[in-house]
Parts: sequence; structure tokens; C-alpha cells
Amino acid sequence: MSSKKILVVEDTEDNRQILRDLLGMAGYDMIEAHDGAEGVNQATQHKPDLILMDIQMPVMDGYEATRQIKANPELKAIPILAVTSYALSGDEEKARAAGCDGYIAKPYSPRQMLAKVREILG
Amino acid sequence: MKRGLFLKYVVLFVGLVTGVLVINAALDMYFVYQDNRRASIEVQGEKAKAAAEKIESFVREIERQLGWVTQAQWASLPDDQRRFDYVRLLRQVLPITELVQLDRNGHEQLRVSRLSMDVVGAGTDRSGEPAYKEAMANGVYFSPVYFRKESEPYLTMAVRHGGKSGVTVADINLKLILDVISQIKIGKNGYAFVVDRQGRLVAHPDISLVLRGTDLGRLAQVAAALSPAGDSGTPVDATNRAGIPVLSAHATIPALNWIVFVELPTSEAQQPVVNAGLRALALLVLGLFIAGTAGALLARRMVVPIRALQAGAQRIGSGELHHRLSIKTGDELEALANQFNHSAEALEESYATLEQRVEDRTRELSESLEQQTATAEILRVISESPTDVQPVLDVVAKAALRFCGAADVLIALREGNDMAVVAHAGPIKSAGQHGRLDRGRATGRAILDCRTIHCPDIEVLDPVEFAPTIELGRQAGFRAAIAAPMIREDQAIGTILLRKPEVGAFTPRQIELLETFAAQAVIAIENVRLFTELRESLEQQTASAEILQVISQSPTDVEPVMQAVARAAVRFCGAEDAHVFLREGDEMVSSAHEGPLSAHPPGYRDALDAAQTARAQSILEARVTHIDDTLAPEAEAAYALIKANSIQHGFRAQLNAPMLREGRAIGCICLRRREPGAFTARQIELLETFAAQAVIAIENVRLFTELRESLEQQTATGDILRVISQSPTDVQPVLDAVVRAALRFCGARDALIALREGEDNVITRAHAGELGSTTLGLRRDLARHTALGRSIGDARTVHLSDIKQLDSDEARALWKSHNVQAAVAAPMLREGVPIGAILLRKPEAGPFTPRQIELLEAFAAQAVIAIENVRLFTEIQEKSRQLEVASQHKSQFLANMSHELRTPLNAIIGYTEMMADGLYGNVPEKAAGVLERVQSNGRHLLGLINDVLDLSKIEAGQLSLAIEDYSVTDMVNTVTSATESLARAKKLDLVAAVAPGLPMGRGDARRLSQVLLNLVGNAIKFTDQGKVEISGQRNGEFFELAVTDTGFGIAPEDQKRIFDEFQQVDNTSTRKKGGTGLGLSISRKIVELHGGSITVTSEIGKGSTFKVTVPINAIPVREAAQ
Repeated sequence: MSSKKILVVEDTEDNRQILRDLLGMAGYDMIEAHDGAEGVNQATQHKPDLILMDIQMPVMDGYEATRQIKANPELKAIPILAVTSYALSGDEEKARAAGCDGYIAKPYSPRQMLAKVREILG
Repeated sequence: MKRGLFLKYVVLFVGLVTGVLVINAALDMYFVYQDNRRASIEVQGEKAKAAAEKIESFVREIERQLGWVTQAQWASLPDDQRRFDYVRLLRQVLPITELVQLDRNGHEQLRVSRLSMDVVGAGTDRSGEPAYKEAMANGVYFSPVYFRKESEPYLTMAVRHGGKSGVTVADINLKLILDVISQIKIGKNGYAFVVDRQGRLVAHPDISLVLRGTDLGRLAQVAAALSPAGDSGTPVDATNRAGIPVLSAHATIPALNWIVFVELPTSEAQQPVVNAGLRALALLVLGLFIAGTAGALLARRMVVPIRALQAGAQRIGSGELHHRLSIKTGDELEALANQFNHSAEALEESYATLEQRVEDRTRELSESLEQQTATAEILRVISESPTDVQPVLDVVAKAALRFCGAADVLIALREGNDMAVVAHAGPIKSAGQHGRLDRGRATGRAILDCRTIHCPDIEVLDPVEFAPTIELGRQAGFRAAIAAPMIREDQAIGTILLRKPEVGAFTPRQIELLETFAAQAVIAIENVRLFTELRESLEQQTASAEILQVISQSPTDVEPVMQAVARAAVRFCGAEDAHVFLREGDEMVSSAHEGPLSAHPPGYRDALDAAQTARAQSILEARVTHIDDTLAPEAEAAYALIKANSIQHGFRAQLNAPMLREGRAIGCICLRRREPGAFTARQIELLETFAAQAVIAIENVRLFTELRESLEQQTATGDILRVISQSPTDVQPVLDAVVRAALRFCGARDALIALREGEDNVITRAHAGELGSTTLGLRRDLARHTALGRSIGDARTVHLSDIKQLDSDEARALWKSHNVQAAVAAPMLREGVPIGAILLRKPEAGPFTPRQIELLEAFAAQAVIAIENVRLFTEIQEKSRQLEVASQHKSQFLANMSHELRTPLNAIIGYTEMMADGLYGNVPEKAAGVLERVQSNGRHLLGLINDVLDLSKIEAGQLSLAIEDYSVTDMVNTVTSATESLARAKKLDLVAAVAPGLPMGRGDARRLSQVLLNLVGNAIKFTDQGKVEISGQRNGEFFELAVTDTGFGIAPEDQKRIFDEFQQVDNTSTRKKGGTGLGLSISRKIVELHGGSITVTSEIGKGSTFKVTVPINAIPVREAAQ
């Protein structure tokens, strides 16, 4: 079985690196996008098994990207995890409203992140 | 006529007697029957017994006689002896016809018979015979009866010899018995008979029956007697052989066991009864007859007088009161008859009296009736002519003549000190139509003294006192007179005089009648008077009503009312002409005019000078002025113009009544007549009424107009206010509405609103009307010489009623060019500062009324309100918008901060963790420790950032509680498990003591846990030894969670401070312990958001307790965005 593809949409390099290391070690294929728009493209192109979507990003934020992805019938089924700073009340609702299937708060413990990913992807 | 008394008595009597007799007879018969029966029974019984005894003794005698020959030894006697004994026996006992001796074996030894040869020793064997057998067995034997020679009954008796040595058999002739039986006689048809044990007849008067061997065993009495029980011998009723009812008695003959019956047919026994009955009947008949006769006689004796009474009473009753009863029975009936007679007498008497009385009464009544009729007629005439007295007086006179026994009647009415004859009936001349009231005359005296004057003979009157009367009497030819006064309210208004040519008193009745007529005449006069008054009154009411109606119909126009008033005045006040004048200042203005005389036209003005005209005086002095002759010197002296005016207009009498409003005259009504003469009090009164009504009318119109104006203005104001409310953001519609309203209601032809701009400029904002060219939005100079300019400049209303009032040529030129002749400008003041003004202009000169100016100022105020409204509204909107923006900025800031702070932390925590997990290769021990420290610092930093962000969120009102159900126990457990290791590390006891059975709470469990965690963390942090206890319990509607430690405590002054942000107990000592000082303030905020509170109690050296009180059902308190 080919390994699962995970699309990481994240504008900060450091965070991308962490995930690269983490997910790579865990045996997942990681696809990257630096902003929301790119994220949508990548998703459309590669049809990953899971998307880790950062929220605060330039060009297009995570909510909008999620909405667009979920609007696409071919991509609708892909689980999207919002990676949110969880600052304001209503952030969680906003994420759900946009179509996210779950969230994880930043900063996160990599172990917990991995556990969650494994939970979704099996 | 009721009859039957006679019969009743007779019947009664007879019945009584009959009854008695019948009863007697019945009783008699009964007893006779009983006696008879008893006697009969006795006799029968006796006879039967006697017979039985006789027979018995007969038989026993024979037996006894036989005893001679039945001794034991007798058999051994020689034949001769024996034969001799037998013969002797035969001789002695005649009934025995034959004797036979049987020896021991039943052989005949000796026979001696009366009828045949003796036989000795025949030796015949008769042992088989019952005589021998029975006798030998029982001692004696009696055979059944048998007959010889067909008629003679025989019996064989056998007796045993003593020692059973033999039997002697004897044939016995029973004729004796028969005789005995036959001889028994009872009554006529009674008889006796004997039956044997079998019931067979043994003896009977009819021998043939016996011979036949008749069996009577079937007969009841026989059977009964034969039965073992029936031995009593009591007589019974039975039937004999022939079926005839008999009374049967019996007796037994013990020796033979026969029974003797003695019977008597009951019919015979009853015969005496029947006889008695017949006797009684005969007696009854006789008795009836006698009773009837006697009864009839007796009844007759009674009934006849009663009938006589009845007839007599009837006669009396039917009216023959003179009839008297004559009953001489010498008893109560006679007394009754006498009583009747007395009653009849009394009746007769009273009847006679009654008749008389009725006659009298009838006469009286008919007299009365006549008078009633007369009175009724008078009353009728009164009712028929309510306005004319004359017919009534005529009728009264006629009635008086007819009923009062006079020859002549005069009616005279008082007129002041005079008298006038108004009605006269009769031939005697009257003294004249008019005359002075003279006490010397009956009439005068009657009126003056107010009493009836009665002169049966005038000749005998006092000649001095009554001279005129006597004189008159002689002249006119009357001798008797009577005068009755006509009294109204104790005063005589006239008199009725009756006169007779002959001497004679008038009867009391006639006098009474006269007085009645007098009263009726008064009534009539009064009636007419009242009627006329009423009619006048009614007419005036109608007039008033008419005027009031006109008033109500023309609420806005005074003119029609004045006209109606003038008309009414002419009609009712006895004038030919009426003219209404209204006061205006110090002038009189001519108003409505009605009538043929010439008058000033409407609108004509006159000076108000009391010296000149009466009407002026009337107005000025607010009183009625009255001239009955305008040409009289007094009039001329009083009023300078009166003569001239009266000649000019053609009037000689004048009446002026002022129209008063609140005591002041606002006009007057002037009545004029061609002929001189005073107006009556009534007419003056009436005129004053009309004047008052005229005032009402004027007032009405005034008020009505005022009301309407007021209403219009209210509506206008209402409109403007509505426009204000409808356009809160736009002033223009309001300004337009204001100018329109100002134009409409303020009596202007042009209205505009100009708003001030800066010190010196105005801009026209709204305009309505036709004067001048006004451009909206045009900025102009605040020209102080114009009304508008002055008004704004001086912040007051400027009113110019004439172009002449302008004091600058410029202004005047401006006005002229705009065709303005009058203007008023009212400033629009906001807090006393003019922000603009409304200008009204008219093309004709003339002031604006105070009311109009008032209204204008009101409109100005409303315009200001509108402008202010809009301004404020806009301000509010702007502020709201700004607030919104600020809020958004804040939120954005928070979000950004959160992101910015957390992002690098992500790298730190992430990398360190992955390094620690060996993702980047093995980590040597030393490095692992350091890594751990880095990690913990990273987590610490994260905690700090979270706290700061939390606080900011709370401050920004961004924190909203996530309300859910939670369990206190679970929460405490979570907290303890989270802090266990920390406590253990410091060797502290961590105890959880949560009360059992606590209900589920509702609140933000996560944040509350945070709070608890914070408190417990602090407790552990600041306690070096001992324990930390977490307790939870319920207090009413609250949970009380307490965290108690045995740390070094918190000083009182610090206890207040610790909840403040960034405060720690002592920055020096606690800095070692770490912490941002944010925890408690956030905890407090969170608890307060739940609607709860945190408190601390502590003692230095002992420890501290932090208590969280939070409602079980948290009601989130929303903090306003700050």
C-alpha cells in the first residue's frame, strides 16, 4: 500500500519543517503549500488523504481555502484539520462553518499531532 | 214550597213502631223456638228413657222370675214340681208363653206352654240351638225378635241354670213392649220405635214395618246410636225413614242391647214458633195500622201550625208586612209565631221610615244633580273658551238665576277702586256699567269686606249705612238681595249679586250654590289669565328656541343670529323696528336691522357718546335705557341727538337693552315704535333675554373660531412632528412642511426658512409662497436691515406690519421689489442661539395677529427640533460606526497577537519535543536534561501567552462561556490528578474532599477547571510542608469550592491586591516562585462571568483558603465591550 499523502498548508517555514520531519518520520508523504490559494491548487492536483490547514495565511486564509476545497465535489471527502491559534471565541465555529472536520490548536505537541493524524488516517 | 214534614213524621213514627214490633216478634220467635226445642228434647229424652227403663225392667223381671226355676237344684226336682213351678211362672208372668227346660246336654226335659200341651221329658236335642249354646256360654241369651201369627212379636230368652245344670228357655210375648212403645206419644206426630243391635226394627207403632224386618241401621241417628260412641242419648236432628226431618232422642236397653228412639218431626216441634211468628205478624199489622193512624194524627198536630207559620212568613216575606200569624198551640210554635209577628211589625215600621228617607234623599240628589249639571256646564264653557271670560260669566249668571231662587243676577268685577258690570241676567235694571266701589251697596261691601252680604229685606237695612242700596232697590224694584264675593287668594276680584222683587231670605242651599258659582267664575277668570300668560310664555320660548337654533346652525357667522334676534325683538316686544349695534372699541357698529323704519346700514359707525344717544348710554353704562316719548322734553334733555334721529327715522318710543358679556356691554339692541308709549316690563324683560342670546351667539362664534383655529394648528403641529419622526436623517422635508404650515396658518402669502452659516451668512433652505424670487441654497449676507436679519441678529421676533416701519431705504426697496407690505420673522433658537429664522410676508399692509405670530414661533421651534434631531441622529450613527470599527480592530489585534506569539512557540515546542523523542538522532543525557528545561520553559511561555490572551479577551468582552453540564467531583478529580505529581514532588498531601450527592452543575467546565487548577497550583507552589485540600459542597443554589493550604499565608493588605492584574504578594519573594500574577485575576474574572465570586481567608503562618462560590446553574454575566 502506498503511503498516505498529507497536504500541509502553512505559511511559516519553521512549522513546515517540523511537520516535514514529523510526518516524514511517521512514513507519510507530505505535500506543501505556502498559502490558501496554493493549497487549493495542490489539493486539486494531488488529492491528498488529509489536509492540515493553517488558518492565518496571506493571499487566502485557511477558512476560504477550506470552503473552496469542500465546494469541489471531487475533494469534498478529504478530511481537513484546521491548525488554529485558537485566539478568539468563535474561531472553532468559524472553522466548522467553513467545513473543517476538526482542529488542532497551535502550538501543538508533535506527539499529539501525530496521534491525531494517525487517528484520522488509520 | 217545601212539603213533606207531615209525611216525614208519619213515616218516622210508623217506622219506629214497626221496628219495635218487628224486633219484639223476632226475639219472641227466637226464644219460643229455643224453649220449644228444649222442652221437646227434654220430653223426648224422658220418654225414651222411661220407655227403655220400662222395657228393661220388664225383661229383668222376667229374668228374675225365671230365676225361680234356674237354680241348680231345681233341675233335680221332680217333674211335677217342676211343672208346677213352670205353670205358676206362666201364671205370674203373663208375657211368657212357653217355658222349656233343657238339661245339661241341651235335651228338652220339660215344656210348659200356654198355647199347647205340656210336654215332659221329650228329650229333643236342642243343643244346637243358639238358646242353649249362648245361654250355657254366657249365662243368658236373648234371641232376635220373631213373629208368630204374623203379628205378634216374640223373643226367646234362655237362662242357664246354676251350676250349668241346664238352660231354661222361655218364649216371651213382646206385646207389652209393643204396647209400651205404641203408647208413647209425643205431640201430635211424635212416635217411638225400638231397634236391635243390628239396627233392625223391633217395635214400631206401625207393626207392618216390624214384621217386614225393616232395617233402620242406615238412618243417621240409628247408626250413631249403634256405634260404640253414640251412647249418650243426646237428641239430634235427623231424618226418619220417610225423609221427614225429625228431632230424635234415644235410650238404650242394656239388657237386650236394644235402643229406643223417640222422634218428633221438627215441623211439629217448630209449630209453636210458626204460630208465634204468625201472631207477631198479625200484631205487626195491627201495630202498623195503629202507629200510622196515631202518627198521622200527631204529625198533623205539629205540621199544621208549622205550615201556618210557613205560609204566614211567606206572605210577610213577599211584602204583606201587615199580615200577622195566628197560631194558638200553646207551645213553642205559638211563641215562634208571636216572634214572627213582632218582626213583621218592626219591618213595617222601618220600611215606612225608609221610604220617607229615600224620598228625601232622592229629592236632595236631584237637586244636587241639577246643580252639578249647572256646574259642569259652567266648567265646560270654561274649557271651551280658555281665552275669553265673557261666555263663562254669562253662563254663571244664567245658572245663578236658575238655581239660586233669584229673579235677577249681576256679575261685577273689581277694577282698582271701581267696579264694572260684566254679566247680567234678569229683568231688574242695573245701576250702571261702571261705578265706584261703595260700601253702602251690597256689591261694594261684598268686595271690600270679602264676605257674602245677605239682605232678605233691604227696607229693614240701616238707612245710613245702606242708603244707596235702599235707593237702588226702590228704583230698580227689588226687595231682597244677596252678594257673594269672587275670591282669589283671599282677595275679592268681583262679586255676584242676586236680587228678588219680593221679601224673603235666600236658603242656605242657595247661598251655598251662589258661592260655588262665584268660585267657578274666579276659576274661569284665572284660567283665562293663566292661559294667556302661558301662550305668551310659549311664544317667547319659541322665539328663544328659534334664536338658539340659528345660533347652533351658524356657529361661525354672527350675522344670521343678529338678524333672528332683531326679528324676535320686533315680534315679541311690541315694537315695530329692531336694530342691533355692536361695540368696537369706542365706536358703535351697526349690525342687523329688522323693521320698516329707516336705519343706518350695516357697518356704519357711530361714536359711543352717552350724551348723544340712548343706545350709547345703554352700552356704556351697561343698562336698559327707555324713552317712551322721544319728543318729550326729558328725552331731549338727556340725549342730544334723540329728537333729530327720531324725526329722521320716524319713531317716537325707543327701548335699548345692552348685550352683556361678563358685565360689560359688547353691543345693544335698539327697539323703536312709531307711537309714543312705554314698553311693558315684560317686553323689557324679553328684550333683555334676546340681548343675552345675542351675546351667546357672538361668544359661540368666537369660541368656535378659536377652537377651529386651535385645531388647525394642532393638526399642523402634528403634521410637522410626524414629518420629523419619519425623516430622522433628513431635515429638508421638515423645513418644507414648516414653511407650508406657516403659509397656511399664519395668514401670510409667503414663507421661507433661512439657516445661519457662520457669523454673517444665511442660506435659504425652504420656501413656499408667491412673493419675490427666492433661490434655495443661495448664500446671502445676513442683512441686518431686513426683518430676517434683525431677527437672527437679535434673536427675537421682528414684526413689521407696514413697509413704513422699515428704517432703511434698502430694505424698503427690497420689499417693494418683492411686493411685500408686511412681514414677520421669528428666530429659530437652539439653546438661545439663533441658527436661522422663518420669515412670513404679506402683499398687503396690516399686522399679523398675536395668534399668528405665536404659531410662527411654535413652527420655528419645531424646525429647530427637527434640525437638532437630524444632527444628533447622524452623530449617533457615526459614533456607532466608529465603535464598531474600534471593536473590530481590537479583535483583529488579538487574533494577530495570538498568532504571532504562538507561531514561534510552535517551532520551539515542536522541535524540542521531536529532538527529545530522538527524531534527530540520539540525545546524550546531559543534552536531554537541558532539552527538558527548554521544553518546560517553552510550555511556561505558552502558559503566559495564553494567560495574557485570555485576559485580553475577557477585557475585550470576547470571552464567552461554553455552558455545559459538569460534575464537581470529576472536575476536582481531574485537577488533583493533574497536580498530584507536583504535590508529591514537594512531599505535600493532596486531599480531595467533595461532598457526595452534589447535583450536576452548569457552566464552562474547562474554564472552571482552569480556575481550580490555578488555585491548586498556587497552593502547592506557596506551601512547603503540610497539605493542600480541595473541598466542594453545596450551599443553597451555589457550589462552594475551597482550596486550603498550609502555606505561609497572605497578609491582610495583600489579600486585596492579589486579584489585581500583574499583582503578586511580594514581588521579591514570589518572583522566585514564578508566575505572571495573571492567574488569580483571570480566575476571578472567569468566576465572575459565571455570576459567582472568589474570596480569600488567610493567616500568616497558618495557611490560606481560597473559596470559589459559583451558582449551580451559572448565568453568564456579559461584560459590556470596553
